[in-house]
Amino acid sequence: MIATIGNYFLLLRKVFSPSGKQKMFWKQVIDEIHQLGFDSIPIVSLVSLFVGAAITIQLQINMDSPWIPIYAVGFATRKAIVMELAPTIIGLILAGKIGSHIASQLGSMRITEQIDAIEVMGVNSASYLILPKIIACLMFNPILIMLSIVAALFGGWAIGVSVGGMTSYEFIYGLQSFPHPFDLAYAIIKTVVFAFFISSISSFYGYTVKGGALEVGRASTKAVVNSSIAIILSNLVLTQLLM
Amino acid sequence: MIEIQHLNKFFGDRQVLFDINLKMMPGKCNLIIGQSGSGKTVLMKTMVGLLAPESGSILFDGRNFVKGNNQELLTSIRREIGMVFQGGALFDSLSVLENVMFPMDMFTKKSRGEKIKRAKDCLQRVDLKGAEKLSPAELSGGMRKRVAIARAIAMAPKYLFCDEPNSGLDPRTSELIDNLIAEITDEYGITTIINTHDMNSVLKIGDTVNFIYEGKLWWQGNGSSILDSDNKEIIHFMEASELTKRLLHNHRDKHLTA
Ligand SMILES: Nc1ncnc2c1ncn2[C@@H]1O[C@H](COP(=O)(O)OP(=O)(O)OP(=O)(O)O)[C@@H](O)[C@H]1O
Ligand SMILES: [Mg+2]
Repeated sequence: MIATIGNYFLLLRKVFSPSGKQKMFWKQVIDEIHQLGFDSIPIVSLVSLFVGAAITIQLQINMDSPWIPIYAVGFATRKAIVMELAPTIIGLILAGKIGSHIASQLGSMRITEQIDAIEVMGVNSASYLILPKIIACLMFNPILIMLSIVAALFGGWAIGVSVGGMTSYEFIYGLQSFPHPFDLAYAIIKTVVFAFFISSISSFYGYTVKGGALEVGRASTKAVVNSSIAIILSNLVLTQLLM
Repeated sequence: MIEIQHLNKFFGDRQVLFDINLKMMPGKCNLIIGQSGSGKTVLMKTMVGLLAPESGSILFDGRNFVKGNNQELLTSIRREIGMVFQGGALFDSLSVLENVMFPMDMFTKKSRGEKIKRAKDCLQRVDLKGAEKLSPAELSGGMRKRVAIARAIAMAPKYLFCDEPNSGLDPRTSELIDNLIAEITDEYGITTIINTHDMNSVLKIGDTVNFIYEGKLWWQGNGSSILDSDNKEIIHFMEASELTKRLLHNHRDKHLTA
């Protein structure tokens, strides 16, 4: 355990050490945004839409009281989605999707000696392969979270208006009441931290695979499990720090 | 010239290379032979700094990167190295042409046109004209090896390392690859190091031959003197192939009658 964490930091040091030529760097980042970011749009939208709808229904059922104004449902939906659902739930989903992708890609490059081939050319393979993935996640995950927020609020609105017996006006009025821009900043800060954990932890497990195809599968599982743990623990810490 | 002095390599408590001393000659095919598991790949990877030895020196024309774990020196030596890995190690997200261009993309300021031209020349050199657009998954084993060789020579290296360049290939294709490597070595005056357990290669292109047995340098010679060796392990190694076994016995008979 301690040794693993130590090796993780050693790898990070190699990733962030200045490495020869960076000519291909931005091209790499764009490729990664394609593979890791664009490909996640469907799953992020789908999950957000349905969870947003479910949250609205829950809130509506539990807040059905003459003492609570109906627009409070919209307000509570917004809070729940922006503060936890979008950054944390979607963070966990991305840990599964992006994490397994990164770990299996790097793992198979390791066991087929492609990483050795890069290294032997005199290229810092860790930096060349991992840094673009980290940068791509740091740049694109916040966009995915914004998308998630929009999709979830839309899901909530659609269900609230169609089966929840709310008017569109009441729901939107609720969404807009007590504006608190810091909530959004809070969601973005969390997302950026989670993006770093997902990309770096998964890269670590993929890059350091030893053995064969079976170990690549194992590394991929470890990448997802440990990125998820990192997200949940740091979520708690960040909530304490930022709230 | 590459010189190895008193090289020892361990994995955990297990020693896999024992006090290796040898020299690799420029402009020649220097072979490392031995059974599977004898330590050929470990020796080669240690020579190019992919594995760190516990003790010893590795000198590329007098420059020893092992001393003080000199990463800067290692990086500059690596710019002069081309390497062909046992499985080819082609980048499977890139096309054949992009694979060969990769080292140039990383290290040269050439225009894209120049890089493409050089990559095409290298592919032509290994008889792979017309395969530029294929992806590695679409290649046969022999073609993969050729692409790997083309990529390894793209930067005109001073040192060429080939880990079992003809493993998994039929005898005819093996011979073509051997000839190709020998010609390239000769043409460009490269110091070439080849791991193999193919006796055909040993006899045909072995300018110097280093036999590794259980991690120790057991015998040194060349492709012509190996048949005269009376070393028990070498004979055992040669007799594993029915063809060389017969060759060996013919050779002995000739000697006896002479
Ligand atoms: N990363 C590693 N960790 C532990 N042991 C290793 C490692 N790599 C190789 N070995 C051990 O070192 C020994 C030499 O292996 P090596 O791969 O050099 O053999 P080889 O001569 O190249 O065999 P082959 O002809 O099958 O390729 C083997 O016993 C192997 O188990
Ligand atoms: Mg080997």
